[in-house]
Amino acid sequence: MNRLPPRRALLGHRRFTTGFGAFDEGWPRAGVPRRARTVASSTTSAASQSRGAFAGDVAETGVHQGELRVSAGSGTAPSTVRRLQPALPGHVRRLLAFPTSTVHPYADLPALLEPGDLVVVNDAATLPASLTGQTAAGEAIEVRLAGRRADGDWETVAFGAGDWRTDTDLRPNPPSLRTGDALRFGPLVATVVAVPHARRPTLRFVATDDDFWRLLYAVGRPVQYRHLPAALDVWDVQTPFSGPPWAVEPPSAGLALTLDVLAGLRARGVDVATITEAAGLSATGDAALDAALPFAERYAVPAATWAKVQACRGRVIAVGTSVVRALETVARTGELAGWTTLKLSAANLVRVVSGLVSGVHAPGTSHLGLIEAMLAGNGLPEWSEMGEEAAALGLRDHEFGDGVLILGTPHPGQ
Amino acid sequence: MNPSSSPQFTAAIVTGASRGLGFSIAEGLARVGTRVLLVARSSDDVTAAVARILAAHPGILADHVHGFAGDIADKHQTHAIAAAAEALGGPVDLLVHNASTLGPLPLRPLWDLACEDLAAVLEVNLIGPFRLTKVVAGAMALRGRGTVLHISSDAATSAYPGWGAYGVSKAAQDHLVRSFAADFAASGFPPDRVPRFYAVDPGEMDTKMHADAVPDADRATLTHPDAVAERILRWLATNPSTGARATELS
Ligand SMILES: NC(=O)c1ccc[n+]([C@@H]2O[C@H](COP(=O)([O-])OP(=O)(O)OC[C@H]3O[C@@H](n4cnc5c(N)ncnc54)[C@H](OP(=O)(O)O)[C@@H]3O)[C@@H](O)[C@H]2O)c1
Repeated sequence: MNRLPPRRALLGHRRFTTGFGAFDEGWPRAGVPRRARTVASSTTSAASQSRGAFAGDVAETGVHQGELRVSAGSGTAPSTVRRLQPALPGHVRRLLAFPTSTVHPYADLPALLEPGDLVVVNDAATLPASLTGQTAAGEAIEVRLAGRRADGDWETVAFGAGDWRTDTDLRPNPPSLRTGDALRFGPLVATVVAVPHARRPTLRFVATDDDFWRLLYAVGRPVQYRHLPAALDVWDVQTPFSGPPWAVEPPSAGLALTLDVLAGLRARGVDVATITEAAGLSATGDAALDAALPFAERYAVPAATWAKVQACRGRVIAVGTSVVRALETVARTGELAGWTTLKLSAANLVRVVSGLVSGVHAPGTSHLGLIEAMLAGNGLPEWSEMGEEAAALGLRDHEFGDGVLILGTPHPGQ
Repeated sequence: MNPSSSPQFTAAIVTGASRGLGFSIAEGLARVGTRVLLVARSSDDVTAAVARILAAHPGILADHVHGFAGDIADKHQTHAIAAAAEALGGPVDLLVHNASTLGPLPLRPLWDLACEDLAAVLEVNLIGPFRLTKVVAGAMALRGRGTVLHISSDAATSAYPGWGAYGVSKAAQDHLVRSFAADFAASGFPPDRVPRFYAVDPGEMDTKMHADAVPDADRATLTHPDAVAERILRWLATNPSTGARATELS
């Protein structure tokens, strides 16, 4: 019956190959602080053994082998500790769990949770939201879709010549745009319908609904940043359960989940529910606009999911900050769908979410305020302490990197 | 066929829907209120097929029937097809893999096929459908609802001279159905809520593909694809168990 590969093959040190070339992986690494323990896998169910039934097949995506450059990022680097390094597609992920400070194979998530907990994931598919083209006068422009409005027009962030290989902060301004201007992205044409900010034209695409989706995927590329050495394919940025094409950057915590892990959660008595949230751009290249991030993001929480959240007697564990935003918005407004501008911080704490699976984030990134709110709301130490630990462990950051699992206590009377 | 009662499926992707059996299935679904995305390579044919359904059935909302001009064998279009279906009609709870190729015509023995010909047939009939299922079935699994139907052939179970590439691809497709069903059965997801996988052998139908394969056939002996589509949809309504393969539906 069970002809799956032995689980051991998935653990420990091994060499593997992706479209980016070959990498060595293994844990623990040298320099692990004594209080962090590596916990070997305890799960042996068939579900958790057969990995990757729906994982993106990165070997086919045509990315080229390249030298891994490590970006300092736009934030300030931690002063005393090792800097987090970005991971590439195909990275074998680990999970740093708090408050236990233990490191686990990602596939062991089910064993780290308790029956009665509820895991909520974002099922948004990620659009190829970066469009490269020209103005009518022939000037180069890159437009990144930021979100679709209720009237069907698109809010965007525009840049001048260049692409993701240049640090976002160093990109030239877009050509100056006026209402009525036409932009051409190969066969896909758009009209500027408003310019609320020189870098934020609102666009209306000149295509039937049926043609629009075909053309968008034909000309668009995933939004990405300088920390990766090669261009991503749309296959690289989907979770294994992606549905509505709303996100303009991947809801990246979900990239690490496999259907096997989700099935393993169910088998453990941990229910899994979905929301849809249009995970937005994480950088604009403009300091004032960056300070306003995240922009308003569309969300929808199915009534069934909200009922599960309210009935949950265990912890409500959000996979990704986009899930926290959606659920905490409903907790505040009672609206199951709409656009959220919610910003969580140490002053605006979580009310329903009591656990979080997220990436490891460098200081200064936009996710961090929310994570601080999550930590403070659950009486856990500040992120800087955890971030240092993650860096010391050699964990990797960014969308294909390792994860953190932050477990708080259930919210009474939620 | 009462569009006001709630249909078995909310939103469907039907590949190869510009003519033949795929068109009949898409039309049959739209008539009962399912939102449908019709996929085929020829843009003109897809547009015409959507218009034909809407013209024949004034009761169907224009927003319920959409077209996608794309090639199921092209890996770069897989996510586009899924995204269009989700954006224009989702959540997708039915995927019909009906598009198919015979390979080079006239049909010929395997030893007269180029290596690339076999690969091309497998891309359309096996690997393309696998990719689209892979992209769509995960969301189905989390939503706890979904059906994936492959149109098979008796060439999947019997070897006919000249039909080697097609037959190999259809046999593999049947096994893909059983294998997906087995993986989900072992997955730990609630067995009554995992996506279901089916194969159907439609029998001989009066379509372009049949004329391509057997140009001198007596068309009077062939079934109209509308009748076959109706039987297939009726069979799906009986909620067969996952992994099932139907043949000689009546
Ligand atoms: N007819 C029979 O007697 C018979 C018997 C057994 C099984 N079947 C099966 O029944 C199914 C339907 O066949 P049919 O007889 O209705 O065929 P058909 O009339 O030739 O229609 C085939 C459809 O598939 C589309 N198509 C072909 N290649 C495609 C591709 N790469 N990507 C997207 N669309 C593609 C075609 O449009 P474009 O060319 O514009 O793409 C067309 O809409 C097939 O799976 C076939 O194997 C048929």
